[in-house]
Amino acid sequence: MTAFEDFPAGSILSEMKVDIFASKRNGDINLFYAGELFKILTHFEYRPQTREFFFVFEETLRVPLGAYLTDDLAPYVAKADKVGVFQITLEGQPGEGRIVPLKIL
Amino acid sequence: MPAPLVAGAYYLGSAILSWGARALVATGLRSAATAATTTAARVVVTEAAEVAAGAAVRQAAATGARVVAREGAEEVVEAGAKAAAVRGLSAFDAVALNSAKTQMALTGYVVADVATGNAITRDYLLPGVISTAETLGRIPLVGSWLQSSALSAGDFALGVLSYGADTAVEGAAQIAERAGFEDQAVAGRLAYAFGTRLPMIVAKAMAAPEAERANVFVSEMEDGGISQAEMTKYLSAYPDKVEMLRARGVRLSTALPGLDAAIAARAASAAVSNTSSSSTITSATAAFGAVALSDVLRGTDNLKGEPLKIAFDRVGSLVDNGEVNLGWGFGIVRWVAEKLGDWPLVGDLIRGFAMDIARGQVVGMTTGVTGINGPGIVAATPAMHAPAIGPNYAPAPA
Repeated sequence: MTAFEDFPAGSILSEMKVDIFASKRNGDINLFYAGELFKILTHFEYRPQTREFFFVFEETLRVPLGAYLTDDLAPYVAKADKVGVFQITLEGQPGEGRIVPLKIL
Repeated sequence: MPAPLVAGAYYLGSAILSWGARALVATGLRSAATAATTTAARVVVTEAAEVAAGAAVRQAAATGARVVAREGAEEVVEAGAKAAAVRGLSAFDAVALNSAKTQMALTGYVVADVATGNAITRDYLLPGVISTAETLGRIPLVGSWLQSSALSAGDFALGVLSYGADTAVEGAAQIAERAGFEDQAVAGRLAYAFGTRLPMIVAKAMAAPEAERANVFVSEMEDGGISQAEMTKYLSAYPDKVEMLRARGVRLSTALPGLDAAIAARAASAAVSNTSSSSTITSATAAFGAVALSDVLRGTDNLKGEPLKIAFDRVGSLVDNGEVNLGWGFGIVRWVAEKLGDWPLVGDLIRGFAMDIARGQVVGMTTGVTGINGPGIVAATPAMHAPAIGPNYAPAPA
């Protein structure tokens, strides 16, 4: 499958591919994206009731991921307070990585 | 075509080919004494005399250093083995070179490697690996076999170094025995082809029209030095592989006349002797998988000792249980190793993630950024998991 047209317009997944993984061992969340984030990513937000996941840029711009978190993944995200975020370039090479806060709504 | 097969072929090939580079990307030609001061440094002993000052070398080996020694350096090899044992490592990195030709070639390549950063080819490494195994007396019978079987040598030599000789060799020996090959060189090539190259060969076959797939498969095997008669004999011992190929549209019965009869004959024989054992193929397959996996993990320089053993056990268990195929194991660990190696600043952040993957302790959703896939990881398809957000928003189940 591909990202982009399969996902809702205006969502992150409509613009780029994203993988999210949780460690069953310690609950660590890691997110990998292929593309460029043209604004400063300040934090993520997660709403457990609806399993919606948001990228928040510069405190004001909230962009939905574009897919609800899966049943396996959601419980781990609901308990996390940060996400390891890693960029993968379109050529498949590593870009940058950092820890980004996660707020549970 | 099943993605894991393609991924497996790619990752396996690149993993093996790049192993030599990782193993021998020396930090520089240096004296043993100098290298001994560097934790986990790679040591290139260029003079036998330096080996005599073995204390420094042993100290280096005790840190987990990779020791590449020349003729007369058995002391170093033994020290490395002992140090590895003390440290609880499942393998030791020691290559003794007792072939003058290889010795010179290796030295030259190491120099070239230091100068240019290019990889050494594994062809120059193999004789040294074999020599090490023989020197240590760990696999005396297989040593000559490896030397006569260039294709299998690489695979099993990696096993000697990175997984321990016993399991890798045992797996190969079981394959040879089960297939009934007295010529172990032939058995080695077959084991290599079916144990490691199969995903790539199948992928090539799958790229052809269905009517041609069997011929492509056979042609690829023949290019690997395996005759149709050998293929028929081998496959008759592994009807599950034949079924697997048939399920992918590679119908070998037409390309290998006599295969069906050979399978039937062997099955009848097995029924009489009751010697057929499904555990043979699973343990052998796991051995091959562990060899390549350990090669990949080793490349990180960070995943050794107990974590490495856990990874072996975990992936081997998954393969044995049929939960994953080798392509998945190769793919995920290869990918993580690349990231660790190329991305040092971020390495610390995902090192634990790497081991979680190896342990099968990861769940997630993916659209294909990483290529990581496996149990508990699902595709983030809108139909499955994502009712539209935005203009067509509909709440997900609470």
